[in-house]
Amino acid sequence: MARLTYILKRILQMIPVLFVVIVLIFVMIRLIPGDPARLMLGETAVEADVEALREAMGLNEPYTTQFAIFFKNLLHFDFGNSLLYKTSCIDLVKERLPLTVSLTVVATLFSLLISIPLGFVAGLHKDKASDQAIRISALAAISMPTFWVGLLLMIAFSVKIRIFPAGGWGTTPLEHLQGLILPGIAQALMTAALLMRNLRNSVVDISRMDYVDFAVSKGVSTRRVRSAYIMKNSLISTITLLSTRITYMLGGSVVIETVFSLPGCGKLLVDAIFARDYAMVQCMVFIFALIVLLVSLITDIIYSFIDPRITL
Amino acid sequence: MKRRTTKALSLLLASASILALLAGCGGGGGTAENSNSPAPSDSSAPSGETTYADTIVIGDNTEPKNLDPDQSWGAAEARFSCFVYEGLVREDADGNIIPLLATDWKISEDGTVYTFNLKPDVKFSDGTPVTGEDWIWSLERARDNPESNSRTVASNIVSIEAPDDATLVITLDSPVASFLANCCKWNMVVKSKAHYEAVGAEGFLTQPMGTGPYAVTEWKKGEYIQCVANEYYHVEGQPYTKNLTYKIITDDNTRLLQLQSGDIDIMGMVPVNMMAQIDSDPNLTAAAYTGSQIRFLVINCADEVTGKKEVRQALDYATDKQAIVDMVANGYGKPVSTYVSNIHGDLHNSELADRGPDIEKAKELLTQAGYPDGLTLKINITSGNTIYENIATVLQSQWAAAGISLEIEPLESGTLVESLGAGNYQLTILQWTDSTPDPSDISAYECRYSDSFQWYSGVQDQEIEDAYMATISETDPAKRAELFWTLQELVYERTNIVPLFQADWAYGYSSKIEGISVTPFNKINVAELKKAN
Amino acid sequence: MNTPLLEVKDLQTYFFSKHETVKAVDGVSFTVNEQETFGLVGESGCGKSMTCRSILGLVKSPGRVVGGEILYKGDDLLHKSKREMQAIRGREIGMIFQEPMTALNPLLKVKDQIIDALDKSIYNTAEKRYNHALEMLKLVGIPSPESRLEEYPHQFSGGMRQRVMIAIALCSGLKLLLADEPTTALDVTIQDQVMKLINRLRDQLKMSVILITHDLGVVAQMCDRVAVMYAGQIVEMTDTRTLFHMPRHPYTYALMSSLPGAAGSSQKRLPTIEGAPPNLANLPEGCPFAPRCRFAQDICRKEKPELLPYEGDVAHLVRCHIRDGRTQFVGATAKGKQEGGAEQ
Repeated sequence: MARLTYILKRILQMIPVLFVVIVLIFVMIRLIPGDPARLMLGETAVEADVEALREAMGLNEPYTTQFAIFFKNLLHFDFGNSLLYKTSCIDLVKERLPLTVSLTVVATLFSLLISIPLGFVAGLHKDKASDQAIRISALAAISMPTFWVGLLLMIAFSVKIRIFPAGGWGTTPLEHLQGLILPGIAQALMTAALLMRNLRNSVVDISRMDYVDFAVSKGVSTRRVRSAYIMKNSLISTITLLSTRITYMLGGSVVIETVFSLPGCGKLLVDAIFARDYAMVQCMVFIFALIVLLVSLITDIIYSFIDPRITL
Repeated sequence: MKRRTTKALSLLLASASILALLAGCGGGGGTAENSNSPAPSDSSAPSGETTYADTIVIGDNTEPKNLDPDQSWGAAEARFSCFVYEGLVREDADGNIIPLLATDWKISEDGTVYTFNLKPDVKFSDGTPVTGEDWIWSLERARDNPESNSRTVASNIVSIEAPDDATLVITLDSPVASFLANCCKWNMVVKSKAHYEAVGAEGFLTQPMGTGPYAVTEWKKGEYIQCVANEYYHVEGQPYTKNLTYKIITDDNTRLLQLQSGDIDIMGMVPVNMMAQIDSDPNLTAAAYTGSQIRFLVINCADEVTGKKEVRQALDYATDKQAIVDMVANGYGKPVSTYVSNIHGDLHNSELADRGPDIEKAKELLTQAGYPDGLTLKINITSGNTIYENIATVLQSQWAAAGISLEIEPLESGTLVESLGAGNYQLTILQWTDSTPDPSDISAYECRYSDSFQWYSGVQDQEIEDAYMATISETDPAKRAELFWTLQELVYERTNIVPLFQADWAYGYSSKIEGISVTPFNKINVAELKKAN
Repeated sequence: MNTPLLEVKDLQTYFFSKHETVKAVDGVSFTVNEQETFGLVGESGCGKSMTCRSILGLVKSPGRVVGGEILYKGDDLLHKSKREMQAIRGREIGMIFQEPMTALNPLLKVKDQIIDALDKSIYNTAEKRYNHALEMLKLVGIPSPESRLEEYPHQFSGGMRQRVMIAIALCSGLKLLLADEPTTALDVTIQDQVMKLINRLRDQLKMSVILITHDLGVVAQMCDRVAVMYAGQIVEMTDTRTLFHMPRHPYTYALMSSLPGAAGSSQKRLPTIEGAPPNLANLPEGCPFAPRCRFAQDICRKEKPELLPYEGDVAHLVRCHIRDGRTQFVGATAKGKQEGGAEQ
């Protein structure tokens, strides 16, 4: 019950945050140089046409009016039409969001799959050969640019050995999954390396804690010490890092989406910014902010389940 | 520890096997049949004959924003729309105007009335016949829709009449010599009025209805546009291939990989440095087609330094255009000295020659302008555009020999455009691709101050503007050619732009493709495409 | 008498780093008999904790036991395999720690932490395990044990946590309990309770206890015999009563004098031991206490003293040149004030 109240309270707290985000993005996107009407019609378009379009798009209204209109529509969850695509922003985002979210989920799973076992091995065997090898690999993974890794994976597993499709994500759920595996791995590498390092350090620290010694002194089996005393405690600090990385992967998906021709939100946002598509930028930033807040809330809830010391 | 490693290892192993299983199902990547595009299977035929595939996949790097010809369109939209929409006339592979939905035409003495005889029994892809009403509605919309960026080609139209379904009479407010060429533009096409009324303005953005060889059946945003042959197409037997998939693959490397793996059959917008790789692949053909895309050095004539004509001409003298073609375009193009492309035939001034490379002359001019010891200039280019970056870099090293130190400053495109409009720049690089077989468009841009500040020069040259105005209404071809030659000389002298080179359209396609040709405006003749099995 | 429960002979535990070797335990020998409480006293860093950890095999790198024997019931623990040690830990020898909050796993219920320490072959059903866990909490005097079992360490007060730790340590029965400053982190009233508890359990379970402390008051209350450690070595070892009435080592002597209300101290200010604890990586040539010893003479600075019986009494060992009779005790020396206090 307390948890439910907490969740509701947090959701209410999101509202002022989102409001600030909206005002900020509304102002910022208009402050940067570049006129959407001109960008739409192209650099070779005639001034008169550009001016007519500006007028038609309502861009000559004072900012306060524009904001008032925008905010009123926002209350109906209407972000208006994209200046570039001329269709409802929300509809466009709804089409693309599932892919970006799925990609992030797949990447998160991969990064956990890689980082957790490696982090433990490295932490438990501090300074030995396995630890060194794992840490060097992590450094290598962090140093490799994502798009390069993506391309390499594609060359290896889509062209040379035909296992996965070279880009795109198909129509059926199965094809979706196939299409997300290579990009998921590429996207996951940096996060996996960072998580691994964090986990390793956590394990090293926790291994030195008194309760580990106490457990050993009681004759608890090594396996049990490692799982219930070391592993469980080490994972806690890693969860915070994971939460940060998830939001990073969500926002940084454009590179991978471009390399693998995935119709996700990343490219949509980048194109919108370049075209100064105000409506679309506002819509996407709002949605991303919402997702970030939700991820943060979910992280806190997970914490409350895992760590009994935390009361919500 | 052993147990934990084993556990971890077995987890990894299990995941790997699941991955392998997933990969196995559905066949994974591979041939065009099954990879991520809904393509039907090949048809087979008795051995001995060449059989053809019923699907061809084209890979492009930019998705059309929408498919309504009366919106703001660019090159990406134009490339696709010719599959679906057609107009009265079109350009052929050499840039000449040839009949399409009009069989022939008459122009009145005073050049204001165009009478077109229309091809009979032409139908939209849904089977409904094209009526005069459709034509009238289409061309009026082209002229009037405020969201279009191509209205100027139709702005002189006063009235359109269709005395019967086989004749179309268009009356202009004044003689416009380029009008026939204007009719080749992507918005001067016939659209189905009934269809528009049925799907509404928003539906019309994604569901086109035209008379072209293909009809759109499915548009998966960000992935592909699926087309099927127009069974009512007005050319017997065409299109040769039943299905056409237009795949959007933004990343150049990925697109090439898909061409190499056979996921796409034709790759457009090939970066020139990949052409050698395509050429060396025995299954692929690399082909370059003459294009109308010219890149220009654009100079601010209102700037204190570059406002001096000697300085501008000095830059032209210091430039080795062939070297730019070789280094930036890998030889896929040719240097040009006048802004009118040679595809415009007689209107292209073939006497004007490249000034450079002539470093001595450049230095001489700079001294005359008051810079005997050289000077520093700044060029702003769109960031992220590799070709512009390369051109700027080559210019930087070429001009250094003449004592010109060039600072290269990339700017984000939106910011750059704004700077140009405000006159906050000295030099930039832009490109122009003709979309009609007449130089009137580009001339308007270069010569009409109110349109573009005379290509962002910032200073109105009245002589040039008047010379251009004279070409608009001169209907006699020989006289018009003379006027254009004079105009080009004036621009050449003013040197507010330095045309650098005309680039070819670079394509790569499977060696099984037959019948491919590309117009100078980068339109593929999809109706005649075939792919051998 | 009977064989002692534990015999430590010349134990050496060193810590190795690139630049230096820290001799944390440098030749420590003592015995602990059955059902006796043996105290290990000294200031921080003197090696008392490390001695106990060495006994249980809890010394972590870069430290290592480099020499000596630890005979438990006659068997040398240092030669036992990992599996054998695991059987001994928690069943025969156990340890409790100074800070109960860090010694308990914050993420596990108390019930699970107790159950983890149980011998699964003896307590082979969930019910047996639960019941025994309940018994243990009752044994250490925790009220409402049923609900407390389901709680987490942070929900207990300091004193209660210490009791829980004791319950966990003893739940499989112990013969020898190593208690590392079990009351230091507690306030005085709770200290008393916990001390009484340990005593009671010792009698009930017929255990021996090695009690590490720097608090002489606790020693007086709890210990049968005591060893005083300094710089990794035992400097005096005898029964408690003798230690308090007849401290022979200058260090012990100084410790006694610094107790508030020490017998015979008439000064208004509490005397302190001048100087700083020694650097275990860089010990002086002679007696390690010499730099701080008010009675130090030349021989002290040159030669290391041995741990020898005082005036022939093997139950009272002292490591000091002056006290072992080789040199004369010179009353008041140049350093420090004349002390009243322990009679000669």
